[in-house]
Amino acid sequence: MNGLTWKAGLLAVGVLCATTAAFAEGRDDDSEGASESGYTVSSRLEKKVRTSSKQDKSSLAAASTSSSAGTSAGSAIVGHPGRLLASNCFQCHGTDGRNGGFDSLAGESSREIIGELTEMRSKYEDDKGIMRVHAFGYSDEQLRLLADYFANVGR
Amino acid sequence: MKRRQFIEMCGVAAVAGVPALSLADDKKRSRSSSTPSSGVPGNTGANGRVVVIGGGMGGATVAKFLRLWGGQGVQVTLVERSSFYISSIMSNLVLNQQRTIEELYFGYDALKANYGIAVENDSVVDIDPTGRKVWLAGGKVLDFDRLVVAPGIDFDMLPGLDAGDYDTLFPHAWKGGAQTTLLGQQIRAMQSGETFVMTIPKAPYRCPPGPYERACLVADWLKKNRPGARVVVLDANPGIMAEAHTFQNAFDVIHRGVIDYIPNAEIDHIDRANRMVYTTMGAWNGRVINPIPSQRAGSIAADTGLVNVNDRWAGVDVLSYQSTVAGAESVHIIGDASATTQPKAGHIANAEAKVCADAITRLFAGMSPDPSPVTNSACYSPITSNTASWLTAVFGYDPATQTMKVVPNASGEAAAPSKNNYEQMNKWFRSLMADTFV
Repeated sequence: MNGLTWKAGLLAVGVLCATTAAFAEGRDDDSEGASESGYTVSSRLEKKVRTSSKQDKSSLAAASTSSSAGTSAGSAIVGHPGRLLASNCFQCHGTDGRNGGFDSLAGESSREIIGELTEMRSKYEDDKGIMRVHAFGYSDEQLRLLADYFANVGR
Repeated sequence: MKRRQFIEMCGVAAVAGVPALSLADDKKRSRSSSTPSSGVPGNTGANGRVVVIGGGMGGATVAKFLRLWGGQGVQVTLVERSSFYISSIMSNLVLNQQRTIEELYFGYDALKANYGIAVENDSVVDIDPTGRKVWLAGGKVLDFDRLVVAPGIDFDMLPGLDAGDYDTLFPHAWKGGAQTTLLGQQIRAMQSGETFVMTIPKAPYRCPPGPYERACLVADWLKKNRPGARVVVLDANPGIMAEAHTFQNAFDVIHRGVIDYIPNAEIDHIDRANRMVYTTMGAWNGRVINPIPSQRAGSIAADTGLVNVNDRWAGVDVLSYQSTVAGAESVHIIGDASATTQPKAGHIANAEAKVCADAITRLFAGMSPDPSPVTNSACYSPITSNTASWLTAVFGYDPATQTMKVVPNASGEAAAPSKNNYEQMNKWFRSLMADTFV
């Protein structure tokens, strides 16, 4: 990769941040239990893409991909800003929060995931000691993004 | 020569044991719920060819997630000389016969079937980062837009030992495999009152808690089966390098009288004939000697000019794991071979691989890598045959130093070893390997 490409890349950081912010802001209009309220990943992403304007073409592509792929595979949430954060949970809770040795996270409401992690920060329980450490590893905003990923990934 | 022998042994084992992979259940599940490649989305806007060298924890994970996240436009070829991976994680449990080495075999069939990854069972002869080609021993030439190098570690030869000694007389067993089996046999051949001597190299080395875990498991087995036998731990470091609270307690209380822990013991040489280990803290005789040598990036990294940190490790930008070697911008190095502030271990190699896969996917789509990646390191360590501890840390990107730093309050170890942790360890291992290979 040459220097020019990196400069283009830096510009794209701005775009990405804007998209992330738009996604996060949009969260406030939505009910906490997004998956429970029944709207799909694709419609949700399309909505974000509309609000985040023309800048993020890859998310547009992502949205159309996810609508065709449905919610059977978590990979359908292409470009979700919580995806890479959420992947830190996959090692124990399974890829996309499915089929892991520990609690399944796929399709859990974001309210529940955030609630549990927040509670772990404030209360020490011996058998949840390792998760308590992880709960401190993410800002509230990061928790919201990764929880939103699992809420929308489909069971 | 060593490598060839190793591959030959794997070949024998492959015939006998590979179909019975320990992930059989996961494979069944993933296949029953999906047709081949169904986990791969259509074109996501990311288009390019990736060659991944090395099918260990980092390489397998990056191959999987490049397809899972990048979609059909990202073509992935995984090059691995062995037809299956042998896990180093859990391999200390082969020493006390709680697991068989075959239970630690993980093949590539699920990666092929579930994600459409092409697997070349071959060795790499050379790479050209500028012309973007990889030459394989079998004669094939692979073109790439991005190359991911995940070669793991290679070992220094300790003074006094000859090439081949690790495979025959003094196994380090610091990679799961035939040496693990040999070391287990040597321990079982010990008599009451004899001594097991192990040496720990200066950090950084693979799996920081691993040597101390091994000392505990060997001590646990010896005191039950060979009363009066002892474990001597010769640590080149000034103190216990991971889970200091847990292991100090294990050495002083749980395995009291069985383990002698000697810090600051740097190896001068090993006397093969007299089975003596000479160190800066004195000399010890061992019925079994388990010298864990100092380590460096897998040789392919040095051979191809990617090693630029302390003459041992490959420097990377941790936003993408792109090489910091001028002219090698098309190359990414993940896992133990890379020089980062993160530990060298399988769980975090999996996390680094995801950051790398995400970055390459974004680059292929004309974007730049995530500016604030998070990774986590976690592991469970058995302390006895039915108790374990854990150690974990979450790392976040620090723009000021351009390194991954432990997030405040987000690191810790178990309060005490427990049976519950031992059960959780088994769940963790099963999940981690499925997230990596299935």
